[in-house]
Amino acid sequence: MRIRTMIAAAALLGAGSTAAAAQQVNETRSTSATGTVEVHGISGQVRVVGWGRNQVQVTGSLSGSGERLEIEDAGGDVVVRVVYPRGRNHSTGRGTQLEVRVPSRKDLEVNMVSASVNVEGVDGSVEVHGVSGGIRVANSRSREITAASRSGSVDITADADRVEAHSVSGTVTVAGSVRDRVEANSVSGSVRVTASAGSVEAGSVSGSVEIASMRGRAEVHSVSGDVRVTGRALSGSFQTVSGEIVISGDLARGSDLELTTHSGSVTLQLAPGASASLDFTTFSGGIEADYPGARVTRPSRREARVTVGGGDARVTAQTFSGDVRLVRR
Amino acid sequence: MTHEHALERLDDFACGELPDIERVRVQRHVEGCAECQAEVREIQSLLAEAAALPRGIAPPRDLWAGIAARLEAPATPVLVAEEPAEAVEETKVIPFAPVRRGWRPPTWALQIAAALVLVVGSSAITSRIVRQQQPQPGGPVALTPVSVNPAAGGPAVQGAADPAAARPVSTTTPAPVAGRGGTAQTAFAAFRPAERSYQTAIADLQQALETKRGEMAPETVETLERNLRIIDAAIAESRAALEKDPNSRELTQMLGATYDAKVKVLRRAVEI
Amino acid sequence: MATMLAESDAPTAAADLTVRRAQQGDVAAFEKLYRDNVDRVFALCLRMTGDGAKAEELTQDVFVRAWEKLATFEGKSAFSTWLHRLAVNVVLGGRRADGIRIGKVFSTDDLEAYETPGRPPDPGQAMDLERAIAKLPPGARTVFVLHDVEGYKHEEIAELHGLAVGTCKAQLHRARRLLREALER
Repeated sequence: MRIRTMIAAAALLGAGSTAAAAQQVNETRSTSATGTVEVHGISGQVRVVGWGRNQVQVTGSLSGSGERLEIEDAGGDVVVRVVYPRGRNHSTGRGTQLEVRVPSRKDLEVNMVSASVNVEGVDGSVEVHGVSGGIRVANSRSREITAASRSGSVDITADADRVEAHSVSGTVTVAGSVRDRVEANSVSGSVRVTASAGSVEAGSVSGSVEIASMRGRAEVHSVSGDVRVTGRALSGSFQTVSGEIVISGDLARGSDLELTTHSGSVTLQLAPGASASLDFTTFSGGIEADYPGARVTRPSRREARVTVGGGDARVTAQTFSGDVRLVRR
Repeated sequence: MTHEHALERLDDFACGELPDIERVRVQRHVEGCAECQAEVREIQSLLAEAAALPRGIAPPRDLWAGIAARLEAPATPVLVAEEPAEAVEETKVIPFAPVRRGWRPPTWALQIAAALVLVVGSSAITSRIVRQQQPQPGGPVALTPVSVNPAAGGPAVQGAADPAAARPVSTTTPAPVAGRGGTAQTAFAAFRPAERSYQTAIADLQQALETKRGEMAPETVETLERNLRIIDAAIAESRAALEKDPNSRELTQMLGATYDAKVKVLRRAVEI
Repeated sequence: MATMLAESDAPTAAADLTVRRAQQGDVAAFEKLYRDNVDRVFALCLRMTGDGAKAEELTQDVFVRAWEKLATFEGKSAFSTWLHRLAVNVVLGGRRADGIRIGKVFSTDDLEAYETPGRPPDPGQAMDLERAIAKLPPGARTVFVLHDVEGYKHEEIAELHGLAVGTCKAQLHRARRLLREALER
């Protein structure tokens, strides 16, 4: 049975009323442990927290400029909606300040326009969409987390199977532990993936991209941003066009890295005792190998083959005009 | 459609594999039949579970040793012996690269680009020509197709259609020497069809992007244009170098990689 | 957010290197391909046979065959797709050859060793389905795995089995019915 209740914000009484008081909200609905919760609104701040009760609780305040809170409940699927008066699509003042507590195993979807969204402790799948305003998802143990904003930053710390984090001009960070795949990208913002993940695809256009503690394969790309790999470097392709590539992690045995840049430089900072076979190629840049015990051959001015230690890890680095460097960390 | 008939077809219906006419008939029946609805729901629930099974299961022990023991190296070496990679004079071209890793047959680019084109779904490959655009330094041009004239060494040329597409394959490039396998094509020449396919895919994406320009924030448009110009400059540089050294597989690889970068950016932009 | 291009399987210039090295006899490169793909291949073999020991054996057969046939991979699709097809052929081929493989009796305890990494969303739910699939009669099981788990089309499955499409469909429907009964939905 579908139940819809509407809680009207304080009506503007009298023509002269200008500063409407923020309307306090405190609503609770019983619901099942699983199912979905959707939260829709426009601006302000929304915090969604998972808890152990089979209830959805909404507390906080509406801005008082004619908004209503609607809660719809249909057999385990709950929709919490901030509805704006006709003709108005934004809040005045502080906007809505909501805290929504949901059974932690429910699947969550949040759609806001210019609100900051904070999701904590939700273990079902999490999907958050915003235009501006930052998105933060933390302390989740989900199958799947998807968060996308246009100008807001996206910050995810989770234990999940799969994470997708996108922004256009905001920064994107993904931390925690992801069993399968992380996809993180921005256009002008920087991207940082410190999560240990099965596979990673991370990119930006003008922002830098940094990967740490690789567990599986990574595909990393930027155009004018730098690409950095710290921690354990495993396998993957790393590409930038005018940015530089810096690998300052440890190459694990069986590492396989493909590094490509056009006018930027490639720098490998390896710890003492590294074991790698490196193929460097550049069209007009310089090649430098300053590492104790490196065996170098120069088949041509444009190429160098370098072996350090037992030659276990494999690295291929190509630039057009940038330098390629192997140095000791 | 009778209930019995529908029941027989529910399995195919539930996974969308009925031909249209039958699907419509079954659907009409299902809409009014609670038993069939329940059946369809159950089937779909099972299918959803099946589809959600983990794609991979790690074997309980490492099987590689057993596999490695059964492999043997190819009986005959695939490639020619070591030769200096640098082309010294125009007539001395090296059709094969040294034996160690990294060498690829010239058809690689064709296959990659073919896959790209397939994905884009363009059926008019051969007739498309990347249109020239009036160059405007710093101007809002780069979202629309910018063609590359290698002779000018940069992306700025007026007038005619893309010279890369129009020019015959190797009029000004050094005559390729037939190698051991009898190939008579330079690496660059072999890449040309792939390059055309890249350009087609890029043109398609740029057109799609144009329609979205109005929806994007000006800073985002500016970022995209600026970075597309960086990529185009890199493409022009690589092509200029390849014109002089068309057998360099590394340069061909670099060019391909830069085209990849351009496609990636445009794809991302279109998704905004 | 609609994407203009589907998430493409087309390998990029850089990513294709490993396959090419392996094609030229580089065993270390092939080992990388093994590591990247073994979980997928093993999952397929295990589900199609319902037998852990057999699945391990078949997995090794798959990679050995892939090494032998590596020269025929042309890069038109992703390597993993090509390998998957090859794996299906190896599993079904073996089945037709000796006929005994699939009919072997197994115990559900075998599946315990293959707990998928990580926490299943509903503890016990994913395991039940895997166990139930393993208990299916061989013909129904392979068709179910290929169609409903791996996403192959009926025509392909029929061709792989050397059966008519109608027969395969019937096996599939039977499999689904048996599974639903076993899982009591």
